[in-house]
Amino acid sequence: MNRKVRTLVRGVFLALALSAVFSASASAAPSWNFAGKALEGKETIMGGAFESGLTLPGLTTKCENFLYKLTIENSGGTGKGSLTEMPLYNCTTSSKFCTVKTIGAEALPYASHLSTVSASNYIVIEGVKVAILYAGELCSLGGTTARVTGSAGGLLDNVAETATFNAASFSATKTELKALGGKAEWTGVFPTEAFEWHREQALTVS
Amino acid sequence: MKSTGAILASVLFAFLLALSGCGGGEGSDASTQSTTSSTQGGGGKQASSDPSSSKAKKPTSDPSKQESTNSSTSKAQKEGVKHGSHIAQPKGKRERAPSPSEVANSAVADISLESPNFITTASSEYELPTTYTCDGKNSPPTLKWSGVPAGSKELILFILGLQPIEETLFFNWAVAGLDPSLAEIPTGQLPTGAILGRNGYGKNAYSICPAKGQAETYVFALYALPQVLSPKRGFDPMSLRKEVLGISGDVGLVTASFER
Repeated sequence: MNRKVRTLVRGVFLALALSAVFSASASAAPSWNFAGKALEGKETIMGGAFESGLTLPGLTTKCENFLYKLTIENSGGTGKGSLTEMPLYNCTTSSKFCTVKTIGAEALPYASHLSTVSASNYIVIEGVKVAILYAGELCSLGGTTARVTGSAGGLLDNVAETATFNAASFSATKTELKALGGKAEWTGVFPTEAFEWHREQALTVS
Repeated sequence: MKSTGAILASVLFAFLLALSGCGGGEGSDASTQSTTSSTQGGGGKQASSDPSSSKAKKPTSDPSKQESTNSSTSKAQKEGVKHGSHIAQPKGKRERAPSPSEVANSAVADISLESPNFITTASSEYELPTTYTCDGKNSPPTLKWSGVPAGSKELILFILGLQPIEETLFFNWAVAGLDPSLAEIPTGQLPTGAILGRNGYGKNAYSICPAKGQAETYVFALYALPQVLSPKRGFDPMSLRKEVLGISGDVGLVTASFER
């Protein structure tokens, strides 16, 4: 084989390798779909869980309901979003001495994006910052504002149209929430639906 | 047209929040409520008002099972119609976010406090090794911190049980008069100028010694104060803590457990 042929063969292999790399990255960037078609423009979706738990190291803080409002779009072939509101309902602690005086998201909006890990689709919410002011005369954290910070990854289910946040989804997305010097856990199954142009349409990610 | 849609969505969202936020007792009975979707009017699809029925549609929380359904397609999905659960109207009281003044008047956990001596458990919580308890040397673990605000005048450290004992906070160690330029207290060393308070055992010392067979969680709290308090040796940590919380400032918090 002469030098020109060898160079040509190498070039073809290189091109094939590069194309494989790029197609792999493309498949790792899922997008938002409504009724089976890729979302064009923006849409507002909401996720809401019946029961969700936010466990801070040492002190479990649970909220009965938890909502989030997300403005979503496909940008550069990847599903992205901006979390603009995140109200919480009926939050309590595991200690009879500690009450949640106030709790809420700070520094909104939070950026988010879709990601595929091992053939499963996830939503990753970045820059989460939740402030919790505890109260109670005999609460060792009373009068203190604790902060939960970090990022959160939730597994998206196309059939149930839900986002599930738990230890497995955090691990898969390599995300972490921290509070009180340790790892905070956020769990909940969030049915998700559109509230603007695509109401009552199937929301999927692929 | 688009802005009308956006306004409609915002109004619906606000309506949803107002319902739960103002509803109080009314909002607590989910069985009598319609769901969020049924209040939208857009889809004309009446969703179940019973959270339990929506719960029945919930997917399994087993991620492995979810992964298997992730790529499957239902008939409704093929038709492009929403097929998953609708969002239920939130129950109960909408929590209020801390106001800027509340945050300013509380001790905010913005100082990073840690100990290289803590053991990280499988559940990513911290455990206190036996050597730092009365079954070991009963000397405090090394504590390191960063993020003390510029201009702080004094640091005060408390180690106390997460749960009170006999209706009072139980302090294991109380140290005032720490120089704000400090970034750590090495194990077994008391920095110059440090003032010890009386712990729950009645001594001006450190001690962690729960009852045998009992698991306790300890809160390590380092307060950075904008003014000097400098209490006298043997001070009452409960009173000093009240004073500290009244002044506000930043705090570093970390918790660790020990089962004897």
